[in-house]
Order: sequence, then C-alpha cells, then structure tokens
Amino acid sequence: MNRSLLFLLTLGVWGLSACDKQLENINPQASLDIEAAITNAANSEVALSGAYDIVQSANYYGNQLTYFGDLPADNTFQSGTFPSLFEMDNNALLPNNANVTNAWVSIYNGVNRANNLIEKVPTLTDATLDNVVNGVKGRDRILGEALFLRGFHYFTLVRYWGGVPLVLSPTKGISEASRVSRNTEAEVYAQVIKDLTQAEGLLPVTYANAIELRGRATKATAQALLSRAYLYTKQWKDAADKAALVIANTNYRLLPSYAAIFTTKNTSESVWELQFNPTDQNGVTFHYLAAPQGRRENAPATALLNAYDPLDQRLAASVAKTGAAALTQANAYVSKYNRASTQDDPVFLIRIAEVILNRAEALAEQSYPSAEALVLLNQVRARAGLPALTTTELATLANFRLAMEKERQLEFAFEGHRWSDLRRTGRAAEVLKLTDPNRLLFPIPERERNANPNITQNPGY
Amino acid sequence: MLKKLLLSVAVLIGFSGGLLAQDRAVSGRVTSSDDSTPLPGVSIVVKGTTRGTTTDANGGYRLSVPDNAALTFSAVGYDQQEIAIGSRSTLDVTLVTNASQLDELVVVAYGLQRKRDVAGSISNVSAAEIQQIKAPGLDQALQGRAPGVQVSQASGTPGGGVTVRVRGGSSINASNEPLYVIDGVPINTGSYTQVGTGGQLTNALSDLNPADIESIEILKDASSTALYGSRASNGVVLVTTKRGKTGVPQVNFNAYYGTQSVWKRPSYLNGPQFVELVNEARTNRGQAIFAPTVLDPSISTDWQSLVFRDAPIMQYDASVAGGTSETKYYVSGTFFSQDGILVGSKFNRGSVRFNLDQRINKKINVGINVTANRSVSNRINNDNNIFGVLSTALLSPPVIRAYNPDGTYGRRPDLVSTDNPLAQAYENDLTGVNLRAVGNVFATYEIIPSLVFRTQWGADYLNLKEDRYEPTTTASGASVSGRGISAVTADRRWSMNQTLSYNRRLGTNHFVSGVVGYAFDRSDYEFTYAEGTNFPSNDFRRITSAAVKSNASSNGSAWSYTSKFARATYSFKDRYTLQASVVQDGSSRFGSGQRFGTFPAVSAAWVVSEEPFMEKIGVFSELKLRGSYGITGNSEIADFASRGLYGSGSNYIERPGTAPSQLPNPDLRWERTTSYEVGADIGLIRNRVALSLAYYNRQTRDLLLDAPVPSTTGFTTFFQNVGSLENKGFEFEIRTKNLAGPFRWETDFNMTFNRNKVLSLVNDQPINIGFASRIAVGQPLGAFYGYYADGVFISSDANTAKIRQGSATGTLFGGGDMIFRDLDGNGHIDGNDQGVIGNAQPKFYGGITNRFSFKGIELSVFGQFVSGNQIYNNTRAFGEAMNGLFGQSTETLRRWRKDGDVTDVPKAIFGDPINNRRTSTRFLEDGSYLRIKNVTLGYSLPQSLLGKARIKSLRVYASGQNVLTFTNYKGLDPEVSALNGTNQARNASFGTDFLTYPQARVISFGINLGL
Repeated sequence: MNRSLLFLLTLGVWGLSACDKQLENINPQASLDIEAAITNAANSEVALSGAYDIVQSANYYGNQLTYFGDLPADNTFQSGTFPSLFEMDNNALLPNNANVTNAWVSIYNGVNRANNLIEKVPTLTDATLDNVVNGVKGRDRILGEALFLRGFHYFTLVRYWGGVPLVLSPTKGISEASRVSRNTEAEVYAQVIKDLTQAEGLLPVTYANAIELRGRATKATAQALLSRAYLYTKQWKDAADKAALVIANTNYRLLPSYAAIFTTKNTSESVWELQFNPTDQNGVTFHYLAAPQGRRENAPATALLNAYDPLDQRLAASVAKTGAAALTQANAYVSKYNRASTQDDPVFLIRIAEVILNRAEALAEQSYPSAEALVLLNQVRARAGLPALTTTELATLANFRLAMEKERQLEFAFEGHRWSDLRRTGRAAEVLKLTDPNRLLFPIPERERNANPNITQNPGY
Repeated sequence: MLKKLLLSVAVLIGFSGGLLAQDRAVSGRVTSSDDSTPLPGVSIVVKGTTRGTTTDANGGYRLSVPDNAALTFSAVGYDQQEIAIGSRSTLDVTLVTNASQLDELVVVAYGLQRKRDVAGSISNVSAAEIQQIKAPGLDQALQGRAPGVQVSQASGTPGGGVTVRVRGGSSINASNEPLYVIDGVPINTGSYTQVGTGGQLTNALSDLNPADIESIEILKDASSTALYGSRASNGVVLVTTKRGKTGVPQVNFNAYYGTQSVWKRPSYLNGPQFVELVNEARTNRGQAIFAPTVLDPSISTDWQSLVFRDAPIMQYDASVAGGTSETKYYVSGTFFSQDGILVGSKFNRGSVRFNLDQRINKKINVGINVTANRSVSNRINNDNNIFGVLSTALLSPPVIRAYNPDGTYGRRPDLVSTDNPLAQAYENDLTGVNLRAVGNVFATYEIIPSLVFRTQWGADYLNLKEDRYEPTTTASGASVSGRGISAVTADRRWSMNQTLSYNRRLGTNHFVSGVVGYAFDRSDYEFTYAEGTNFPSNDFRRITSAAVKSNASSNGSAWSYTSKFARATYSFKDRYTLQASVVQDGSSRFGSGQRFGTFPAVSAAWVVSEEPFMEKIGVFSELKLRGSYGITGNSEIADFASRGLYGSGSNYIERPGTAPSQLPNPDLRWERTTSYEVGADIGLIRNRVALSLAYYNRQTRDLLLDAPVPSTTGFTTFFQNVGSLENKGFEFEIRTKNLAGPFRWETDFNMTFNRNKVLSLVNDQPINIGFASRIAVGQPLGAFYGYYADGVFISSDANTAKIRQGSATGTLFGGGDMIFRDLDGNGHIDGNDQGVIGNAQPKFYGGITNRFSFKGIELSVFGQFVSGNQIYNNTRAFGEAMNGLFGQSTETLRRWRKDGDVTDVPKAIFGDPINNRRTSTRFLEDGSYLRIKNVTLGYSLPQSLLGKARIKSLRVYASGQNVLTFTNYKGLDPEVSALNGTNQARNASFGTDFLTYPQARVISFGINLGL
C-alpha cells in the first residue's frame, strides 16, 4: 500500500510540473511580437508594405473613399440598401454612421502604421539600409514613403472632417496621452505639406518596374499630392510649381484614350495607382456594378448624367446602363471599375490629368486670363473628344472656374474628388442646394467621442 | 438524482444465463410507489440463482424462470421485494421507497456526493426531458427545464447555434457559455464554420447524440463549480452518458418521424399595394413615379410561400446495454435527419457510442467511453445578407417574377441588388461534413478502503470539411463566373485529470470526504481555406478548375490549461455539512507574470428536517438550508490577447506586409466572479411538494474587456482588466405530485428573476455595438440605445416646437414625419437625443411541465416563457422603411398619407431624407412570449399484450413542438438573435432580429420498443 501511494505521489508531482511547462511556448503562428517587427532592412520593407496595405482597405480607397467624393455631392445617389449610405446621400449623416466611422478608423490605423516606420527606421543599425538603390538610400526611401503615406492620410482626414487630431508618433500603449484633442484645419494642412515636402526630398524618381513606379510613392507622387494640397490651401504659386515638375516628368503623360485608363493597368496616366490583383482584391465592382455583378449601391445621378456633352467620350467610359431603355439615373450604373470577375480594378489616387488641371487652376487663380491655363484645360478636354474652350467662352475667371469645376466633375467622377472640390471652392451650398453649412464636414464618429471626450464634435451634429 | 444510474452499480451479483428445459417466460413492469412512474434499472434476480435481469427505460422486464420460482426486486432507494411467481406469466410490481432522497448520490465535479452534503445549486435534466425535444443538440433540450438556466436559439437553422446563460452573462468580451464536461472530460463547443452565411453559426454540441445521455447536471453556484475554478464563471454542464448494467442484454429501438412547418409568416404587400406605396414615396420626394412598364403591379409574387416548406425530421436509434459483474457495456447507434423549413437547408447526423466498464480485480476498474459522429449540414445564406434565402424573400419586391417565362430566375437589378431567393435556395452548394470523436479512458484503484485513485485521459477530435460552390445562376456566383470554397477546420483537444478521493464515515456522527487532483487540457486549432473564382462552367465545382485562385490560407492556434484542486467535505450527524475547496489554475493565454490564478470556495448546509425538534413539527418531509461563497474565473478570450502583436497578411504589390494588430498588456489577468448564494430545499407532504429556492449575487470584477480606445491610436480596442458587472437573482423550482393513484398528475415549475447590471467600464465610456445595442454603466448587457419615437406629426403645423433635423439650420420635421423626442430640448434632433430605450434581458423566465398519466396513457405539456425583454426588430426597419424598393410589410398600409392622418407609421418618402427609419423605439418591441414547447401524448401497451409477443415494452407517442406561441412580437419568431459574430456580440447585442431563420413547429410520431 505504501509503495503504491509513494508511486502515485511521485507520478503526481512529476505530472504537475510537466503540465505547468505546457503553458509556455504556445505562440501565435501568423503574428510577431511587436518588438521584433521593425528591426532591420528586410522587416522594415515588410512593415512598409503593411503601411501601403491600409490604403487598400474597403473602408479606405479599396472602396469607400471612391464614393465619399460623389455620394454627398451630386455625382451619385444611393440606389442600394445601406441606411448609412442613404444618410450620406441625403447629407443627413448621424455621428454613428458606420461608413464614416470605419473610414476614420482605417485612416488613423494607417497613420499609426506610418508612424511606426517614421520613428524606427532612422534608428535602425542595419547597414544594408544605407545601400543606395535608384539614387537614394533604402533608409531614406522607406522614411520618405512612410512620410508620404502619413501626409496622404492626414490630407484625406482634413478633407472630410476638418481639423483632426495630429498624432505623429507610434502608439505603444494606452494612456491619458491617447486622449488627444483636435488640431485646427490649418495645422493639419501644415503637417500634410510638411510631410509631403520632406517625402519629396527623400523619395526616388523611379523604381525597378512599372507596377512599383505607379503603385508606390516617388518624388513625383509627392510633388503631385503637394500640388493638390497647395490647391486646397489656395497657395496658387506653389500648387502651379509642384504640378509643373510632374508635368515635365516624362514618366507621366496623358493617355490618348480616356477609356484605356480603366482597361489597362499602370499606364503613363497614373501618378499613383492603387494596385490590386486577383489574390489581393477589392469590392469596388461589387459596390458599383448592377446585379448580378454587383449591388449598384450608388449610381450615377441625373446631375452628372446631364453634365456630359454628347461628344464626351468619358460618359461611355464611366457609366453604363441595364436594360434597353434610354440612359437615365434609373438604369445607370458606374462602369469605370469593371473587372468584376477578378475584382482587381485599380483605384486611381493621382492621375496626370489631375496634375494638369491643378496647374491650370493654380495659374488661372494667380492671374487671369492665363493662356497656359487654357491650354492645359483644353488638353484634358481634347482627350475626352471635346472642342477646345476659347478665351471668348471663358472671358472671366468666374467662367473659367465653372468650366474647371465641370471638367473635374466629369474627368474624376467616381474617383473621390467632387465633394472636396466643391467644398474647397465654396460652391457646395449653391451647387448642391445645401442649406446647412455644417453639413460640409462629416461628423466625428460617435465611438471616437465615447472613447475620447477630448475630441469635440463638428458643429451641427 | 442519479438514482437510475446507480441502481445497477449497487447490485454486484453476477448472473449467468443458462436456461433450463422447464423454463418459461415472465414479464411485467416495475413502478414506484411514490408516483407510479416506471422504474428503470431495477435489478430482478431469480431467488437462489444468479439468473436475472434489469428493467428497461419504461420499467419493463422479461425473464425466463423455472417453475415455482420467486423473484427478488431490488433498487437503490427502495425496499427489496420478494415475490413468488406461481403460475403467473405477467407480474407488475410496485416498489416502496425506503431511503430519504437526501441519500441519493449526485454527480458533482470530479465525483459523486450525497445530496444531503450538497450545499450548492445543481439542477438536473433527465434523459426523458432531453429526448422529448426534437432537436439535434442537447443544449436546446435544456431550455425551460432548470431555474437559472436561460437557453436561446439564435436561429432556427438546423444544427445552428444556441446560447446558454447560467445565472446571467458575467462577461462582456470573454465567452459567457458554460463549460461542458461529458463523462468527466471537457469538450469543444461553439462554431467552427469558416464559411459565412450571414449571422448563423454552427454548433459543435449538435455532434453529440442526445439519446445517449443518461442525465445532465447543471452546476450553477460557486461551490458546485469551484473545482472547475477558472472556467466556472458561467456554470458547468455535466453530461453523463448511459452505461451498461448487470443482466441480460437490453435492446431498445426508438424512432420518430415528424413534419416541421413555419408557424408564423409576416404579411407583406402584394403587387398593387407595393406599386402604390412606391409611387407615393416618389411623389412625396418630388420624383417621377415609376411607369407600369418598370413596376408592374400585375406581378404579385409571394416570395415567402416559395421559400418556406414543410420539412421532415426523423431519428432512429438503437442501443444494447448489459453486462456481468465484471464487464458492463452500452452500445448505441443513431441516425438523425432534419430538413430545414427553408428550402435548401438540412442537417443530418449518424453516431455510434461504446461505453465499457471492466473490473480487473477487487481494487482496479477500468473503462472507456467513446463516441464517433459524422454530421452533414447544408446551410443557406441568411440573416444579414442580401444573398440570404429568407432575407431576399422578405426584401425582394413582389413585382419581380419568381421565374422568367424562359425558366430562368427572375431578377431586377435595376430595382434591387438582392438576389432571387429561389436561386439562392436551389442553386448554391454548401456542405459541411463534420467528423467528431470524443472519448476517454479511465481507471480507478482503491489504494485502501475509502481512498481511491482515479486517472482519466480524454480526447476530442473535431474535423470539419466545408465545400461551397456558388454557381453562375446565382447573383453572387455570376459576378465572378462561379465561386468555390474549400475549407478544413480541425480542433484536436486532449485532456487528463488525476484525482485521489476519500469517503469515509467515522463513528456514527462524522462523515468526511475529499478529493485532490490535477487536470490538464490542451487544444490545437487549425484551419486551411481555399477559394477560387472563374470556373469553366457550373459542371466544375472544385477549386482545381478555377482560373483564379483568389484566396488561400492556413493558420492555427493553441491554448493549454492546468488546474490543481482540492475539496474537503465534513458532515456532522448527517445534518451539518461544511465544505471548502481551492483551485489553482494556469492558462497559456496570460503573460508569465499573470498565468496562475487561485479560486477558493466554501459552503455549508443544514438539514433542519432531521433535527429532533422538527419531528414534532412534522410539516416538512425535507428541509435543508444552504449557502455558498466562492470565486470563479473566466479566461475565454483570444489565445494571445496579452501580447503586443504585428499581424501578417497586410500585403501590397505581391510583397508581404505586416502591421500592428494588437497592443501589449502583460498585466492581463483572470476575470474574477465573486458569488454567494443562499438557498433552501423544502419537501412537504411526504415530498409530494418539493420546493427549491435560491438567491444569488454574482459580482464580476477585472472584466476582460476589449475596451474601446481612441482610434487615433491606430487601434480600436485594447484588452484590459477593467470594469465590473453584476448578476443578482432569485430562482425557484417547485415539483408537485398533485394527484397520485391510478390517475396521476405532476407539475414541475421553475422561474428565474435575474438582474444584470454593468457597474463600471473604461472611464465609464459606453460601447455601441450591433444595430441598436449599447454597453453602458448602470444598464444591463443587451441594453438598446436610440431615439424615442412619439408617433407621427399629423401635419406640418403639428410641429409647434419647430423641431429640426440635425441642427438649428436643419430640415423642419413636417406632416407624416416621425416625432422624435428632443431630449436635450435644443430644438433639433441630433445624437444627443438618443437614450437607452429598452433592453433584451427578460425580467423573468422559466418553464412549466404538467404530466398526466392513466394506466398506460401519459400526456405531458411543457411550456417555456420569457417576459419583460425587448427585441429590436431590424427586419421591420427595412420592411417598413418606405424609402426604396424593398418588399414592405402590410404595416405600411397604416402609413400617414395626408394632413390629419393619425397613425404611428410615417409617410412614405423615397430616400427617407429626414431619416424617419433611424434606430428608435418605433422598431423596438416587447419580446415576451409563452411557448408550448412540447406536448407529448404517449401510450405504453400493457404487458398482457406484449408478453405474448416476447416484447418487454412498447410505447407509441405523438408529439408536438412549438405548438403554440403567445406573443405580441410582430416578427417571425420571438426567439432570435441575429448578431453572433463575436463574444461581445453574443454577450451584449443579443435580442436583435434581422431576417433571422425562424423556429419550426414540429408534429411527430414515434415509438419506443424494448426487447
């Protein structure tokens, strides 16, 4: 009896210690501890891909941001099923709107991804980071790409929410300091320009192949986005100058056919083209196309359809219809994104056409009439199959502005521009018959204000 | 409680079946003097021989006997009877109870205890009750049976998910499901599917055959659950399967066949009504009306009638149980099949079980319990999904043809993006084949008398293979020229426990018992997933044929758990019992500094009725006062929640990418629930009235909260131990024998009042989830948050306060718009005008069973009720939105049309610019219901007939399930929960209905045959 007791006790004690050991050494199989994530050149590159990846999110330019520019404006209307998109269409957003919340969350997620690189990469000791490729050190390029992305994120935020909190260092934990307050709109724009300017100085002119040249940030990408940022802040000379640098760059040329932009990937039209492929897909076609390819969630509105000149080739390249009846908003759907079976339509974040129009606008705003501004505007019109506008037709700056507004509406329909363009030109109230000026900014998401009472709401929400 | 199980264990007399030439058959039925119920497992021995048998589930027996023999009938808790047979060929016997019910043994954690020593709350659900409910899973069978146990079926999907809450939810982000332990071994539960079909989940518990279950004990209070310490916060469900008994083999066949149907269908507009409504909405928005060529009122498709069907449900099972004093066995096999009441859905399961007990010698026993199951489920899209079958049947306008004249499915992409419901129902393939093996081996060794070492090793292997193909005939498949998914999920779990237990009476006054031991549990989970699109044609359905392999992944995770435990019980004079236990648990889910947690519990019981002074009073046949106090834990969170992580898969331009996915919290530790309970068990009138009541208070601290953080950090949540909540409640159960004698009537009634309240959160910031749910301090989990709707403005002039939408410059609310309450009185309706408008927690719930019997006829009526809860009916938020082209319910016929209309349904207006359909009390409904869950009418054929046919027992019955439901709820079924994606959704956003698959009414017929 005593022997067996002893045996069992020994077995028991051995078993106990063996069991407790089993609690250790269970590790995640598809994640890495945070400290091990950015430590050398190779894993910095990997984290950089992750920083780009957020822009592909369905809550960012992987879908949502393509229609944030149209739905609250007059380009599209909500023809689908989501109540939250009806709210956006009706300019009656509630602070708990899911689309608005998800976009905010995703963009700030991107800010943190970029911040991690911006903080860590300059401090890494890996010597291979100082190898020079395409004329720049790897370290500088990664930092430049991260700064470019952060600038892009804040630019997107400020366009829709106004003065948002500027978070410029990576999050390591949650503390009182996490409850940030809002910065002013001017401060955010200043940061955007600062980041992009710094990025411009760090980024290479080109990459090894077309996919990377179009898909990642280069010096020209930073310049193009800077020209947009200066346009939004009415710094006309800078806007014109930065645009000129890109226009002069032989990597970027207007594609002769507007339709070809959307059927061929990575053409000379693209200054920044968000890359997708059949294993890295987006839901853009599912959102826009009519059934069975998609759910025609928002569809071209009458205001847009009426704006096209009969000669305008952009209509056929942007809009299609179901059924045999004549094209109206009842049967129209967005066809700019058309790779339904592979779901890998690129999203055009910056096209050379925009840079050309940026310069045209910036020149005209500095001094009108401007022959060059008209030439540039007519370049874009000519490509669409439209006759050139003359100084007679555009006698005044006001005429020019209206022409520019319409050109941008048609050229960049469904690419996320219209709403912000109308807001920056102060034309939203008149064009959209928007009586409540508070509706020009989206509400700060309710979940954000619940988690952080220091963030004030935009007026009117 | 475990009377039936133990009857045979107590009898250790061996039998041999040698038949003599002059033998003849005798058969009969054994019943209890208590309540005339049949007594299974009664040992019957031919006096002076080793020949014998035991009674079957219906108390029947059949035995070969020599002439002039006498039979001895014995059973634990009953006086032994010896009866000479004489010349009789049938012999019905009534056994008289002898022992106090207090000496019954009860299944507890790691062992058995005398009922008198149990100071906690343990509810029992019997095999008969489990089998009565025609459902694949044992969890569904618990509904309404036990006080303190709330069971809700999330949807009526065959084989679908069920939530079980024992005394309320104690956590927000960790699981609130109880721990399930089958024959001493914890098993996998929950949903393993990788293929999303909307809000519906699968249920690993439906892999187990309810017909194999002998009894279920639900451990509810801290002292009963204590030995499962860190996993016990949500209660423990102990399942005991059937075992062999000494005697000749008992063969049982059971079969039933039934028909299921939908019991309620909401009424939707027909073609003309719909077209009128839409055009009115267009006109109200200043838009052109639709021409009849676009919206053809002559088409009037009743989608619901096309997708609902009457569907069969059936089960066939057979079992053989028997054994000698050395070897006892139970072998069973089952086939269960249930077609869904929605076209395209189906579940079936085949299973086998083998339980064996073998005595090696006087000191050593070994045994094995093993079951293998294969279930096949065919699910359809549903719930929150525009490709769902029911979803699209409700959302599709009636003006679309079900089939085009050419036979193709009718669709109107120019109107709505929803697919044709029939295409979704008939064309999609989604087959899940689940292979499951659950088993354990055990051995006991009696070291010295009263001191027993027990070792048990168990495994639970789950392997789910899912294949899906969406053909080009569906909208979802057409867009990608066919989409295929192939997914394999495996969970390999093994566990063991070693215990040393001691049970001894010392002198006449002292009884001591105790158990010490340790346990280990580990689960390795893995999945592989592949998806392809662009198939050559619908003749090719495997991913090999797909031109685009759009997704491929595989990953895994694991956790392990250890436990060291000790429990000691001391009973004085069989009247005063004290018990104490302590557990130290470890979990791999926490950082090394916080890995272990200690969970103590104490309890006391006083059997007042056995005090000498009570004998004079004489009212109580039983009176026991009891109380317990203890701490339990919860760690049912993600496997690596305490770590700071960079996740992979954030790729760009075919380059691998990583991104921060989780912030580190090395201090993350056990969520702890401190609970106490006081209760009483009371027996009156010779136990004809048995009452059990308890008050409990459960305080959960250090909630494992995936707390919302400012998303400006790049994260939305951060796992931390913050916040607290409580569950306080009163529950009682009363079992009465209203009429005894030939006509018997018994009633079981239980009821629970639980009050759940969130006490604190991170900075007390509320968390919004789901469509309308909110977690907020001072509110229960399941609170609804939204606007208050006070009716509809009868005209624009009625808006005397000039209330505007959104801001001081917003649109004025006019005639036909909803009157939303301006809570802050600032003259416009904005986010600040939302409040807690209701909650999904019932004020009380329970069940009532009435059983009647006369001779061989028995009738049982089982009702189950929930009261005082609200349901947010998001289906109505779509079906009464009147803002677009979705199918609309006939409630909209009451809509406001012109000034002066007094109604609670606003005007139809295309696009709903002022957002009349926002989350408000308009769609919040009373979810109370009383449901006649089951009615069974059975007839057991008399022995006089059966004896000749050499049949021991034969019972035929008719059964109805969900026969009647009394509710004011307007949706398809008040038992709903559409949001099940995460622990948090299940814990705090239950009670939202959104296009949810309803429960079926089942009418079935069955037989039970004993040979």
